[in-house]
Amino acid sequence: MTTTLNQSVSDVQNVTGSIDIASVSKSYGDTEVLSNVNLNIPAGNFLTLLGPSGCGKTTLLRLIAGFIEPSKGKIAIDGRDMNGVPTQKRPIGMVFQNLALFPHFSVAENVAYGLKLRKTPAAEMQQRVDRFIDLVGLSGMGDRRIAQLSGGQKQRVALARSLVLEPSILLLDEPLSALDMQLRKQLQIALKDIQQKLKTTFVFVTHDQEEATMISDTVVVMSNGHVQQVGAPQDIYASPETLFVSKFIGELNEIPARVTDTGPHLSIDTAAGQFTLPASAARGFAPRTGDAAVICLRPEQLKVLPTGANVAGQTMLDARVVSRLVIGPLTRVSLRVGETDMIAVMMTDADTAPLPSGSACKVSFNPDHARLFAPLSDDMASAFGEHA
Amino acid sequence: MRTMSPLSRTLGIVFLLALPLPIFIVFGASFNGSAYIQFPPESYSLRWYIEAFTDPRWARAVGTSLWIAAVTSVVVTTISFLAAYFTLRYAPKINTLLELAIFSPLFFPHACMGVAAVALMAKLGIVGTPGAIILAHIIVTVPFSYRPVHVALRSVDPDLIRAAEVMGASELRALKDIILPICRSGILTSLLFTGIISFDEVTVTMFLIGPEITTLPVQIFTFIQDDASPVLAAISTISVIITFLAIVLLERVAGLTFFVQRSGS
Repeated sequence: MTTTLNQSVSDVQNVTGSIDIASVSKSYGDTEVLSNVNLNIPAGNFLTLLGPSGCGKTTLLRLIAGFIEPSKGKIAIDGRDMNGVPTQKRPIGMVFQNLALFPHFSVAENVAYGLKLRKTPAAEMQQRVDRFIDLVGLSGMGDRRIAQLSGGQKQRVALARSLVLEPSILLLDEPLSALDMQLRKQLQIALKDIQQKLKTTFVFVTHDQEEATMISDTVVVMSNGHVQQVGAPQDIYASPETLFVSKFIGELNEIPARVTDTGPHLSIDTAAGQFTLPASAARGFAPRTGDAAVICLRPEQLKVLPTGANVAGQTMLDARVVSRLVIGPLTRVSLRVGETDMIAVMMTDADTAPLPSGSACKVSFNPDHARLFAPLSDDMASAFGEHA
Repeated sequence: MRTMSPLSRTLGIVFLLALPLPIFIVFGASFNGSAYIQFPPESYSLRWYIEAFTDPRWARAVGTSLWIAAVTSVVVTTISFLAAYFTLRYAPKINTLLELAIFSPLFFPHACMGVAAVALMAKLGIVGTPGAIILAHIIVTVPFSYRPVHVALRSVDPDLIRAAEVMGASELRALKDIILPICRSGILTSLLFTGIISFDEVTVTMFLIGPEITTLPVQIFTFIQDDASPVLAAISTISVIITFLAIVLLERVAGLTFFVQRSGS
């Protein structure tokens, strides 16, 4: 009996760090920067808020941190309503975009600051500071001044300083954006590693989709203050629910189209030809005859075949090879299909009959892979620098 | 580096030497043995310094000026720091308006301010008290305090205070642990510079002294109207040395760059 009780107590301790965001909106004057966000973040999750600048991701992070209060709705951490709870009283740590290290403190003093505020006994403080300096890979650098550190080392200090207090939630506001590619990759791996060791809930803000898909358990795609889609990176890539998400995550071929008949199959008219798609291809809207739409296909869903080819069950389009680029094991083929530019990606060794640039070819795809979306609204399109 | 023409070089040297010339004259005259302020001195003696140090009126005036300068600089620096901190963090939009108010003492003739100050202090019933002098000195020195403090605070990343708060620090604690040490040189500049101005202030102070209290520069001014004794030259030399030491200290601990940088925009 006692064992069971202890067991359940320790289980409860293991699951701290869940965040429930219920109908949260934030407005400044007439401008709504977040509208009706609902999000449940389970404890121990590595969650990324992903979206273009101005999508509201940083605002959401600041709401969780308590720097600002929601205009509507509520945020709860471990079931406790956080409205009106000051930053100091929330079980969070934060790594800032510009790191916000204390320039007049050494590395160890930066890491020790939060412990000092909690009046941690000196011996324990020393031991914990050392442990977390080791954890982030800065062993022996405790006495360095902040100005003596490289960009990547500063990053690690910021991480150690937040984690030493063992918060159940760590908020990270684009902390890697100032670093070069190589260092960025290293730190992404280090972050993921540390998160798995500590089981802390990480809420990570980024505008870099590659970074998001690489390190997260869950990706939240945002735009214009709305949550577009929540899911595991591979699920979002494989089944995006909106055109915005399809465009934002991974590479995409888009074919502008018009719906000519809706049932039982969707008949589609495009500059690249006419064909039919299963009714299930339509996502997020009910197409009617005459509607404008966009057909989306991933580059790896396209096959490039010689002109005479015909494969049963596949949609075949006439195309022309514009150029080909071999990148190690992958080959990228640029194609002109009707009036649309498309990219096909395949394994280099699977490309059995490489067609020279300029030659006519067939492009084929499985109609079950195609997705049909309504065109982007103007404000969404502006996030990609386009005008619908 | 561009070389100067011989003419502008000569003019420059003459100009730079002319600026402190009156001080050299006072310095020379203070060692004069005769009973009149005279330059060059006819004979040399330290008698006026002995008189300056032994006459209790001078000792009291120096003491008064020093403590008024100390209180003024601490109070005005505190006010400026809090005002600058508040506007930068919570109300950046009112900064232009606030600066206009804070810099307004620079636009008015000090004699007018003296008249206004005496009217105000009379209303408050504090004419002739140290409080009146300190209050007037705060108004006169606040522009010289706000600028260096604002420049120092503005260069501090606002996320530093948020970072401290996330780690559990109260706003006051974060100010003390993080912001104050980072703004140290701006604060020291403000303390020393307002102290020097307060120590040297005559015009406005003259309106506010009473039988109980007077400051060193006002005492010198009052004294010279009755008696052009060389003791004044000795006192002036002492006062120049005090100011000079303060400026050397200021340059050493903080540099004078805070007055070169603009605090606006």
